[in-house]
Amino acid sequence: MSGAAGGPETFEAFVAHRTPALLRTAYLLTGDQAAAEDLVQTAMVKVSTRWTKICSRGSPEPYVRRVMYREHVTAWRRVGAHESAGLDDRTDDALPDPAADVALRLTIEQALQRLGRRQRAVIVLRYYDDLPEAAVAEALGCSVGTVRSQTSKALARLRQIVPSMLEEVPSG
Amino acid sequence: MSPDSSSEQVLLREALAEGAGRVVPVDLTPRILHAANRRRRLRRVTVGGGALLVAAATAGVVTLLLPAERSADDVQPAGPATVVLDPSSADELAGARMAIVDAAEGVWVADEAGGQRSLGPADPLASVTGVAVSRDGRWVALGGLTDDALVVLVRDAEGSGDESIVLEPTTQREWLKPFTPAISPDGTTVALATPDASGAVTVQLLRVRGSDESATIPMDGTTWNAIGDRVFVAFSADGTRLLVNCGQDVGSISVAGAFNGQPDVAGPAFVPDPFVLTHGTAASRTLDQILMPRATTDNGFRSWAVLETATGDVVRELSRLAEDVLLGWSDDGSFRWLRTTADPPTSDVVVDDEVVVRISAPNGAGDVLPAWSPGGGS
Repeated sequence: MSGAAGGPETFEAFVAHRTPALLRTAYLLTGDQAAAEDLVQTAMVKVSTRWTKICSRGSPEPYVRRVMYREHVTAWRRVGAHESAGLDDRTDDALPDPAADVALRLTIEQALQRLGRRQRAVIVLRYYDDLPEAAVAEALGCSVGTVRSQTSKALARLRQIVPSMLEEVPSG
Repeated sequence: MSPDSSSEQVLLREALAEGAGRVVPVDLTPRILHAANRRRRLRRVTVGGGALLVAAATAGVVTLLLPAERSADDVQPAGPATVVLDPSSADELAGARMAIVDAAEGVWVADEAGGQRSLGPADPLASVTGVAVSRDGRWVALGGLTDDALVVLVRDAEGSGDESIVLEPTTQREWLKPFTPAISPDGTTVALATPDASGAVTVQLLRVRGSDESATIPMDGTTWNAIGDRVFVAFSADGTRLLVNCGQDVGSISVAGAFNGQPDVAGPAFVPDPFVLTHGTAASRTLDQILMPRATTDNGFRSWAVLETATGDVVRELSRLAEDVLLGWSDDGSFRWLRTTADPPTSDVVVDDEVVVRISAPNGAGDVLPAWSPGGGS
């Protein structure tokens, strides 16, 4: 990525310009404002010490996002047992069926928070960042096969939590 | 519907886009840059350990160590307090002398060249409530309380043993609060504030060498400790005036006029905003401006304001981490801060966002009380 003058973008400029977008992604990953802010900050601080080297390889944003996703999933590994137990307690409870599309989208959004962190990351990368499977695999540091299986499981879980996802899809 | 149907993907994308839009658009830039600068700075100190000068005070005797591979992170607070100076920050430290009061080890001084000297225990003070260093770095003033007096101890930072003790008797003990004395640029005069019977501020000016002159100057129109827990007093760089800041009242006094019976008191100006003195206060070299903190914090940051002493008007605001304590205002316009962490127990002196000195205290970072000569950093 280049700055306005065509040279390498400074860390300060990147933070100022790209943090809002990163924060939106982090919010989808964490489902919590404070946790999203912390996640973005942690990722940015991690890359700050190697900024020149990162920029020498091209646009720094994919790398920053990769650090953020991995930091998110690593946190999942650290608290995985506890969080999984909590998820298991909840996954059989289907959320109320919404009557309107807006409510349905809100319900899906809430349902995303019931996924495990890795599955949530896969969904965000595939359907919010619009990354192809290979790019998702690179971002998360796993195989394409793992991305496919995690995507499939995540969607199945969402359909389980929000049955109306299948029944009330918007037309067109 | 197939698991990957396009309509399901559309719905999912819309839900994600709406969800992402629900985040509160906070500006994280200051917070991230601050954390990144701190990390980069500490990293630089660590990898540049060969250039560090480490000094440790041991049982009152300062020992200089020059470990080629020592890093800031290696300094463990297992023994007496340890100071790490980063000579790459020589510009920030130029002309500076730092005095440190360690509850366990007494008083010692450090300067930008890495020189360290113990000034011994702070006897006869049971505890030191405030420390100040003269502009020329030669004299260290220690403030403390006894049952019936305010005590100021002035010691030669060069280690000559020259010492002056000022006892300011007071019968108004119920008013007494921990205080920090001010010391004139040449170290000949100390100043401190006491309350009068009406609850206004009275300034005591006392010569500590060359004569036994003293002066008592009432600051009419001030209110003792209306906000905050101590009164801030500071000499101008040329030693001709003394600033008195009680939190919501700010004024100044002509030093020469005070000693010849013709005190020239300017102000006090009323500071309308709710500022406090508990996180440090500093004055510019001409005393025309002061930097004061607000009491409240927001998301881990505290707002500070530069005010005109003549009017009390806010002319500039800045934001710092809430835990930062102001140490001083350098002649080059930069501010020096003390940032204390509990684990590990360290106190960092920070200029802008760079750590220039790290103090590792043996008994917890809260046990050290540092001060810096006002001329440092010029």
